[in-house]
Formats: sequence, structure tokens, C-alpha cells
Amino acid sequence: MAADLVVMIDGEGPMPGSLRSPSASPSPPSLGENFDPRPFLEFCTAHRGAPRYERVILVGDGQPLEQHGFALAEAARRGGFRRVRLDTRPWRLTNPRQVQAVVQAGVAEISVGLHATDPALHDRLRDRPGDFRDAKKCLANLARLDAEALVYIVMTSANVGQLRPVAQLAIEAGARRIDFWAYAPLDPTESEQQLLVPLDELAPRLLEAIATCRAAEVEAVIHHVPVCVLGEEGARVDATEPDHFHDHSQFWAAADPSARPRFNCLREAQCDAAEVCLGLSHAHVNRFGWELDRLRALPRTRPWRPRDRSVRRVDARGRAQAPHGHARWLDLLGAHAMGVEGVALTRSEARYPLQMPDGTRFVLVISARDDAARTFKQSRSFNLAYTDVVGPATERAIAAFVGPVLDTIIANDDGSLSLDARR
Amino acid sequence: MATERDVHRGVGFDAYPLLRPIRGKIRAENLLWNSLEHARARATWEAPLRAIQALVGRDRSVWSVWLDHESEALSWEVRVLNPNGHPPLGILEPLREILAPWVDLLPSVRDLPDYAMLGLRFDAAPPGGVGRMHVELHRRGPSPRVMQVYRVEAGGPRLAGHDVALHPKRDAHEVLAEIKASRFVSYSLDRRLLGRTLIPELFACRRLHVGRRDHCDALGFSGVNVDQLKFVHRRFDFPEPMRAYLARHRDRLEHILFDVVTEYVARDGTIAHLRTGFRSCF
Repeated sequence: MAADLVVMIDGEGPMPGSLRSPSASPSPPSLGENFDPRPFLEFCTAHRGAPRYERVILVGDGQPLEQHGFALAEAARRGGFRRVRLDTRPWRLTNPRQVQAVVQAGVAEISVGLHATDPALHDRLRDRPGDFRDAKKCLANLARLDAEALVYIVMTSANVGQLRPVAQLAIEAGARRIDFWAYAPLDPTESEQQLLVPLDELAPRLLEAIATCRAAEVEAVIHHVPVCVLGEEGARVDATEPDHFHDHSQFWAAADPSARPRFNCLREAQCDAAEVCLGLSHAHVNRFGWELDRLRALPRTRPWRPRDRSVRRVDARGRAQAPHGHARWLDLLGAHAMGVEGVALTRSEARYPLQMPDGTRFVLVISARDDAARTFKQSRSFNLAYTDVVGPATERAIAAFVGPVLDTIIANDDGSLSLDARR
Repeated sequence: MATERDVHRGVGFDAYPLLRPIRGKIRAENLLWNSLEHARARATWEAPLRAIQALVGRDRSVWSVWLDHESEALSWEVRVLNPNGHPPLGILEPLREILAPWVDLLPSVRDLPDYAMLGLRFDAAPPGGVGRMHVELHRRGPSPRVMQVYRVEAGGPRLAGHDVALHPKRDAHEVLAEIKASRFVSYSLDRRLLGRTLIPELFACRRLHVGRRDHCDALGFSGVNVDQLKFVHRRFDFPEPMRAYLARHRDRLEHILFDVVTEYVARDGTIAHLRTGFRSCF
């Protein structure tokens, strides 16, 4: 289970690694105009008694954020989240008193996109005149308050030559952490394709920027760049995704996995980093090829296993098969296995899509047992949780539905199955 | 409608797993009928296709729909297994009999070498015209992964190419070697070309079939899901009514894996796709 939970308040806020907000995309997610805060407020009440997430990330920039943002932040602070983060556009945080009010409501972290050292380039990349000026004002306001500025830089062909100076600018402006995102557009236009950067151009400049962060003792995190081209800094690559809070069908589009960039690597089966590295975005491969001259497989310490999303547990003639491979993971659910839509297995997680009678969908996630981690329930070998809820069911109804499934897993977990706890 | 009795097969006739519970789903052959309707060819070909299905059994043949990117014409193929050989003609003999009301299948051919599968290719007959079917044989090659393709004409079978079936990730080294050993594309000239043939959106599949034809290369992506099939319809400009049909029924086809095949050559420094097809069984 992810440590972070994203709450999409509207489609106007910035998305991690994106230059534009979702509403600016050709197919904006239909978030609806009437955001209902009650499901999340109810979730906070339940979360307070059994915290599962470290951090909540509130994302928005429209009227719903204005109307509900403070209430959501305060509810999250009281609801067992150790950190509350706000992802909005910087123009909202140029007034020091406004920033102070946001911080007093419980927001401890604010992310700010900074993509160039010169205003014209930054504003062009963001497609918003004045955004650079607003971002600098926002950072200056945060520096005066007890709130952490998390700066993210989207790396494109236009700004790749400025990565180190941009990182330096962010550090001087008080950034506590800098996230470097390789540009990975979904279904890019011709002009968006031109913003992609080949690895041989990106990697050395990114490493210079990382060195600047290291010298300043500022945390640096890398996204959407293959581990193998970064040498020792490959450990900074973060391929995890936060969970998304969806208690209303109007949010489905933002959570649709097919609406996110996809990645692949021809070295996956040979590379030990495959489970912590996404490889190359499809947009990147379409523009530059598979980069076989640049990518190298890190020697495997464990055998590679292909993913299997099947639900079939009988052979072609309808005869039951003895459980093996993924079927053993289905058997862990006992009779409930017939209700899941398969199992997606990686080295670190088993994920089972489930659907409730009212149509609500969610994913049951099993990960290696970690007593230090907050989780919904635990079996002998695993932490058990659920995520990616899409549909009308309340938190309480989902808990009632999934409870017997989890109890069955707890009863069936004899210690013979295991998952990797490293990620 | 799909039923629990349905068996989902790929081009090699191996059964695919079910991806979603079957309730409320439809059979993949609806895509075949829709494509024939779009080409105004259903009236010509539905009866022969139903006859083939009745002969070999439900879910024991594989259909494919092809789009020629130059002429923008659709064509089709039905592939059946040749159980146990049955010399001298194998499955061609009963096919010839049951299809006699509609087409003459190679009346002058008296015997064939042993083969694993037989393919019948056809296109939309001209209005009022008579449909024709072309026969291909698929014979096991020197290794179990290789399938040789023969075109059968009045003079007998002629080798037209072969396919090598490989796992895209586990066999990545062999995949690359097979793709790059091409007569039609020089990958060393431009490293980007590999991304145009080994299409990233389709790479996550169950098997790759690296093919050689006498006039082009071919790459089959076996076991792609309905969203990947939607991508193919968009990427290769399948007719809008077919794209709309697939989009409308996407949720009712998400339980099935499909096969996709592209045929291509290098032209003017980039990859020119000649034909693209998709497959399932019926």
C-alpha cells in the first residue's frame, strides 16, 4: 500500500510530472462541478482510529478548492495523516496572509513547479504568463513560514540545459526536496513530442543537478528515468504511485490507469531493477526508439516472473486445475477468489480487483508483512489493504464487504507464500 | 453473447486465459461481423463462415480482419487446424465440400504435404460478383517455435515466409536478433526504427511472432487486451465505424485477449506499414 493518498478536488490543480493541469488536456477528466467533501470527511473520521496513510495530498485549483480546501486540510490533520500537502497553482499562494492561513489549517507541505531560470521559458512551458513570478513569490512566502516547499522540475528538451541552475534556484528559494520528472506525455501532440529528451542528453545533466542537491543536503527524487543510466544515483528513482481517494463516480476518469503514461523496457526480464524501474515511456520510445545503446540490465538476483491477469482456474475442458503459480495466490482468497477479476502479481505486491454488488470497484492489495507500516489488517506473512476505490459505496460498506475476504486470507496464510519487502 | 463454454484462442490455437468474469460480455466474432457489414460483405461471406464454424466446431477457428493501408480495403482470413493430417488433402477436403455452394477451393489440387493449419483469405467481392478464397498452409518448421507459411495455387504450395514465436520479455535477445535480421529494414541506420516496428503500446503481450514474408516483414503481437486493440484501431486508422463499434463495446470485450499483426517495410527512411490485422476465434 502506498504511503500517500491523493484527493482530487477538481481538475484544475497540477498533476505530478505534468506541465499542465488535467483540465488543460485534450480529454480532461470529468471531475464534475459539485465536489462533495463529505466522503473524505467521513474517511478522515475512520482514518483517525486506524491510520493507514502517512500523507494526504490535496490537489486542486478551482472553485471547489476555494470552497472546501480549508475544511479538508483541517479534517485531514485531525484524521490521522501525519503530513498534509497541497498541490495547487502558485498564483493562489502569492499573498503571505493567504499562505499563513493555509499553513494554519494544517498544510505542512506545498509543491511548486519550477521549470526554468528565466521567466519566459518557465511561463511558456506552463503555458501561463506570470507563473514564474508567482512561483517565486510562493516560495518566498513559504520560506517565512513553518511549511516545506517541495519543488518539482519537469525535464524537457527546452530546459534540460538549465537543470543545475534551476535546482540551485530552488535550493536558494528554500526547497526542502526537489523532484525531477522526465517529461512523459500521454498521447502527445507533435509539439509535445519535441519536448522529449533522449537519455544521452538527459542523464549527464540530471546527474549534475543531483550533485548540486547533494552538496546542499536537499533531498532529490527522480521519476520516469531508467535506473540503469543513473549509476549510484539510481537509488533515487521513485516509481511508486500514491493511492487515489475516490468515493464518488465523478472521479473515475482521473483514476483511470489507461489515462496515465505507460512504460516498458526491453531489458525487463534480465534486469534486477525491473520492479523498481518503469523503463521508458511509450512517448519516448516512439520518438527515440528503445535506447538499447544506453540501457543495460542490472544482473538479476531473483528470477523474473511474467505478470498474469487471468481469472481462469479451470482448463479448456472445464476441469479444475491444481493450484500453481498465480492460482496459489487466488487460492489464498478461498471461495472469495471467484469474486475477484484476477490477480496481478509483482515481486512486491499481489493486487486483486474486486467489484461490490452496487458496482463499486476497488483493488485489494497484499504486500509483505511490515509491522512498522500502518495497514488495514495483517496476516502471518502479509499486510492487507485496499485502494483505488471507484464507485458509490461508503468506507464503512467497503470495510464490511472486504472484511470476510481479509479474514479468509488470514486463515489461509500458512507462510508458504511470500512477497519482497524491499519496495 | 459470450458464454461459459467459450474458449478463447490465439493464432497458434493455444487457449487464452479469461481476463474478466463472462457475465454480460459478448463474443469477439461480433467484431468480425461488424467489419464485414462495414465492407458490405456480410451477405457474401456469413453463410460460408458459418459453414466452416459448423464443420470444425465453435471456437475452433481463428478469424482475422486486415486493413490494407494503401488501398484502404478490408480483407479477412479464417484459419483452421488440420487435425491428424488426413492425407492427401487434410482439412481442405471437407472444406472444399462444405464451401462448394459458394466458392471453388483449388479444384485442381490433388494432394498436399502435411500441414498444421490452413488459412483461407478473402476480400469483399465486387457487388454482384463471386467471392474468391485463397489458401495458405502453415507447416511446422525446423524448430517448434517456427511456422512456415505456404501459398497454395493451382501449381501447388509455394513457400511465402515464416513466423518465429517468442516471449517478448523473456526472449528479448532472440526477439531483437530476429527482428533485426531483416531484408527490408536496416535498423543500424536509425536506432529509432526499432520503436516503430516493435511498437511500445503493444509490447506488453503474451507472444511475439516475428515474421518474414517474400515482400515485407511482419510482427504479430499475440494476447493484447481490448484497450491495446483500441489503440491499434486508432493508430492504424481503421474505418471510423469499426472504431466506434469497438469503443461502444469495449466494456463487453474486456474479458478477451486478441492478436494483432503488422506488415511493414522501410521506405524513405522510416517504417511504412503495409497491412495491419487483428484476430480472435469463433
